[in-house]
Amino acid sequence: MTLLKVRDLEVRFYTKDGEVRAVNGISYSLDQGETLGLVGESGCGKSVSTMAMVRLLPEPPAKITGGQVLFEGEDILHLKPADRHQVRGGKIAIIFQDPMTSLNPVMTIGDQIAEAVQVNLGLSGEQARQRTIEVLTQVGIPKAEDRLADYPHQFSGGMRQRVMIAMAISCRPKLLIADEPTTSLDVTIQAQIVELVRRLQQELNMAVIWITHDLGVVARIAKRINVMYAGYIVETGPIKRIFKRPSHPYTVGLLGSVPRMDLGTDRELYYVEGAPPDMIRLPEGCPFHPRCRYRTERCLQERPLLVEVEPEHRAACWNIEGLLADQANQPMGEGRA
Amino acid sequence: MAEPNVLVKVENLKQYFPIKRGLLQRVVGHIKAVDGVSFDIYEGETLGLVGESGCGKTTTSRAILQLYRPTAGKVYMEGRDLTAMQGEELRQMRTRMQIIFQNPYSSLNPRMTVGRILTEPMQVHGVAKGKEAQERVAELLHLVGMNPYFVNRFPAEFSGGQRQRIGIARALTVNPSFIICDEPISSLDVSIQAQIVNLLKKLQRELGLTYLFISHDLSMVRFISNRMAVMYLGKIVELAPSEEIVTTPLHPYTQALWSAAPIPDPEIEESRERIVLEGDVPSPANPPKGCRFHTRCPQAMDICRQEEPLLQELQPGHWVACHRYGN
Repeated sequence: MTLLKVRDLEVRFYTKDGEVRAVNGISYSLDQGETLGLVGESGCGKSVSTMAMVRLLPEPPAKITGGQVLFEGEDILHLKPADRHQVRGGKIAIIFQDPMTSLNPVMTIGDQIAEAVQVNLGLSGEQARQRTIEVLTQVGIPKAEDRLADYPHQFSGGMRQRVMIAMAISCRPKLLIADEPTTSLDVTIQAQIVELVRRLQQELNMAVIWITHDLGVVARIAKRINVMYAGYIVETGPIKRIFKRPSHPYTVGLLGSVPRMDLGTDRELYYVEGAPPDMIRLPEGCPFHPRCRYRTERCLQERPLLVEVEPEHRAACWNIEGLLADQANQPMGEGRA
Repeated sequence: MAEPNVLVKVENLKQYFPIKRGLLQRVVGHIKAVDGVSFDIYEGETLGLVGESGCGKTTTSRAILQLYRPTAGKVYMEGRDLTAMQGEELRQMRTRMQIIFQNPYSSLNPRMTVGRILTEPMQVHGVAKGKEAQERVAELLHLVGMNPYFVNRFPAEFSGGQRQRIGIARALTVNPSFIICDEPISSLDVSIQAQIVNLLKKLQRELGLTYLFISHDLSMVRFISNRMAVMYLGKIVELAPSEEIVTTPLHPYTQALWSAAPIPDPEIEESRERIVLEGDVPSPANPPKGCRFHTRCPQAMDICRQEEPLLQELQPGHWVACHRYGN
């Protein structure tokens, strides 16, 4: 069953330097209990597009200039401010990259989580306390009852992220938005958090949008991914198909840029030339063309739309044939061996 | 095979930082950031240093360069003891060893043009001046893949990847033979990381540089390094040629680190079993007795709680500090 439907979402920032075209008409949908990865580099619009959905962007300078977001069939973009709370924090929960800046430093974690469940679930004080202990235990905080009176700084980075996750799941959300939750953590702690979210997702049948630039993490957690570039979705589909047969030159570049522990090192990394575009002055035609090895005349003029490469797998490129033929002939980069 | 030349030799290096408390700022203890590490770096190789935050990898690099004066131990560069040097003598050695920092935003002076950033070290060390220095700047910019036309621009006008190229060019101004790369790519985007790593590899080939490459990104370290050392709580727990340490890690911590590193392939990830370590890294102010890893080690034995294991050479070139091996 479809839980979330995003249609032609468009977000702009109005700054003194000009109009930043952060998100340029993206559409996707998400089923109940499904995990979607949003993959891309800084400034590609992966965070902005999701924060816009839950109206967490500062408006102004941000402005949602078009599109629709349906959550359980209801348009959540145009809710009255008073009604937004029922969705955000309740049915849709969010965890952020840096738990230290998203937790209140002068409030005990017991009070912070209890506040959330009192507001969202209407529980009484004692019930809220019980629920707080329950979720802290669920995310693997040892002796949760004894830690209720502790402040965020008394927890380590990984434990703090667990507290954030406990708070997020405390109101039994249907959708969890995870905005690079493991980026600031060490690998062994990152592995703990990824496994935790995987387990919780199955236990609670929650849908997850996992925003990341880390292809390794996304391979562990997501079934389907959207690859974003310059505010567009440039490739979308089941993750296995995309990793097996990346069909956008940018995806090929991303996959080739990461060395792998399980493969040899006897070659250069395949990389994407240049740097991401200035979002105020996006190039004409395909936004990726200035960095693309497969560009044709057409790419300079016209922006490609997502077209089907194989069932459920779509990419936005005018020269998919050229790209795929080249990959078949000459495997390049580490990931393509 | 001939024994490779040792360029940098680190012997039992210790770096403690005092913890001060109270009105009188009395020293109540020490953070043992680096607690007795020894290793050699061979000429022309890249030695990778990996470990989680707080394990002492950055402190080790600073102590090698004498940016911190080590609490104990010796560091030899080209056979000369840096810890015994002071003043002018040490300053002259700095042309032999340079560092590239993690954050290209905070390590370049925002009020200096690229040209000045690059000429200043040449003037300070008397490498070149005037027109010669300008020519050298153009040559260096070209070498790191930047347009020499950019000399009059300020760091703020560049992207992260370009700034890191400037940082690399600055390290090269004084013709060093040894460069410490301290997480040089971790603040960059994935596609840019690959550009910088390829550049570092190219420079090493062309200029015969020796690197100490520090990172928490295991696959990247493995990609660039000939040998790798794994640190945990101020100690080296394993050191071996990269291929060997990746395919047959011996220390339980190394095994757990490898298994935690995600592989960008959903087919593999689907069926991969993980060694997920419990808990967090203990505080370096009060490290556990015995083996420092025993509190998190899935294979800990009684002896691990009592006695500290020594780093021993199990196979030629493969060093491990673990009671599970050896006598």
